[in-house]
Amino acid sequence: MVNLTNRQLGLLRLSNLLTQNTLTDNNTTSNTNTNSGISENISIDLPGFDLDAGLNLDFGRNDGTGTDLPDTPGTIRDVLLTMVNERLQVTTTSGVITGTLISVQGNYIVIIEADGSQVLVPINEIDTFREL
Amino acid sequence: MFQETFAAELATRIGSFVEVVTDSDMIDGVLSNVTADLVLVVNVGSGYGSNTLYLSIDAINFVRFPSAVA
Repeated sequence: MVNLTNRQLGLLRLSNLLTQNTLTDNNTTSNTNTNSGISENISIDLPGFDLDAGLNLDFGRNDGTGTDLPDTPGTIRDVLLTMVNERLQVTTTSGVITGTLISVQGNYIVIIEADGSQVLVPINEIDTFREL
Repeated sequence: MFQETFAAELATRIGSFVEVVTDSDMIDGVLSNVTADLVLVVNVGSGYGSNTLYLSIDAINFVRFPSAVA
């Protein structure tokens, strides 16, 4: 056994007291009396939360692959409103209409085809549409 | 320039030549009358029987106004 000076012994006692206080605090803040302070420290391992934060989907949007996802659309009408004066292909149950979208009204759209024909399409009849 | 609803816009075009397309048919004719629920088309291409066709507005997929008479 190493011989310690009185000063060293005093410091060692203080150190032991501090350690016991820490363990006691952990036990008093816990609802379980059977766990030691050490095991509780392990059970609330904060780095685990950091891992969850790493799963944020926003990080995947601009990953340099050039595949940016568009914002989530609200309604078909909202998306069509952003395409006014653009060339469009609209599919309905009975056929495809291709032309320039010139107006989006309350429940229908107006398309001008290449030959100048006007086509009125009720929005609720649209199956698919895409900008050309 | 255009009316707010599909039926109201069609009503402004009474007398126009139209192609009305539904799930199962395409009707050429002159737009004769329009209400909130119905469209009346006089089919000028048919030589037999009644030339008048009533369509439910909800059954219409789209209406084309050909450029020559649009």
